[in-house]
Amino acid sequence: MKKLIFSVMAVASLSACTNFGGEKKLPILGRREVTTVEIDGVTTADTIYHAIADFRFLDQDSAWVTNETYDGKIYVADFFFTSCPTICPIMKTQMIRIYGAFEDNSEVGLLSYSIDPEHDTVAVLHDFAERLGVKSDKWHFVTGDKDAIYDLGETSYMVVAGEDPGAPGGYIHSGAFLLVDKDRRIRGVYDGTVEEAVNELMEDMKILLKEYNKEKS
Amino acid sequence: MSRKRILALALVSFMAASISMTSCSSGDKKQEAKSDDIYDGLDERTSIRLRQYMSEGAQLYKQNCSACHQTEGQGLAALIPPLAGSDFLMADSKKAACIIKNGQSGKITVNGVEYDGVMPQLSLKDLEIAEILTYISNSWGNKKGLIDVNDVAEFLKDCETK
Repeated sequence: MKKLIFSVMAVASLSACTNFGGEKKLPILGRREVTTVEIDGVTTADTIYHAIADFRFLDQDSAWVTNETYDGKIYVADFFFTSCPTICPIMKTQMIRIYGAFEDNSEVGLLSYSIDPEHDTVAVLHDFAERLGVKSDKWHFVTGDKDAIYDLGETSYMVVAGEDPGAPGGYIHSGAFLLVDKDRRIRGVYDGTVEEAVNELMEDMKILLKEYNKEKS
Repeated sequence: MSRKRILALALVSFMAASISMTSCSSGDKKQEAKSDDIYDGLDERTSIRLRQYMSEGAQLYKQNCSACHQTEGQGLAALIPPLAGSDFLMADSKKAACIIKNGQSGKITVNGVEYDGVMPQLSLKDLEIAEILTYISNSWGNKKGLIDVNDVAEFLKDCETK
């Protein structure tokens, strides 16, 4: 098992260090740790990158969504709530653009976490997704334990989310779109309320997909 | 057709294309260019007042409404109704004024699509409601003319919902 973990990490770090002939390379964001690993008597330094922790939440179809749901996919994540009167509709307008641009690409997924899970039940999310006109296998809207969602947002996705009775709708939250690669690592943070920033995100998604497709060939 | 003429034509069409492109990239410019005809046939005083309402209304719209109804009044899928080309808005200014003041919940049908969202109550003065209502009723192809503060004060006297 230890060997397996090591080899997985080795592949990850190898790919992270590869430079594709001067083309733009997306950074790997978050805190990283350097550890020493000893295999067959040889001590090597290895970097462990920040990665999205394990999670398990229900989506609009009452199906479990976990990291495995996005195996072999890059995805864009955001935090919202359906009754949000401020930035969420703008974020959803922008997310729909991404949905439209990558609808037929099976290597791309979208993930929206509700930060008001008590109100945003599976039924509410189902209605929301249906009204938005999007397919659930491409774009999961998830709900679950509130503390678990907030915790995941802060520690894994590095975004701010919390209740604030003074804010419109009762919540403050980040308008960020997070780009996550196939290895659960955050490769970009974009302002989901700004069209130009989302244009940049969509360009970066193409770069990230190319990175994986080059690895394969 | 002479070569010179073809060149001139190409230049003109290129310029036209770039002008239309720049006008599309900026909501405000597009708005102004498109809505010029809302001032057609108005006397000077009304025209000036309408311009003032439109200008103030645009600012207020940006602050209070555009997050949901979007910058071009296009709304969001079947979640948030459009204002641009909205039969609901254009049919009844009184109802629209009441909704801007008191918010809206429950099912409404706009351009044949049923919406069931919640619009929050906004704390706005009658004049601000008049400016917003004038702006949304005369933008993005909508045309209704000036809806002034006296009209709005009258509308707001007996709203169905408070």
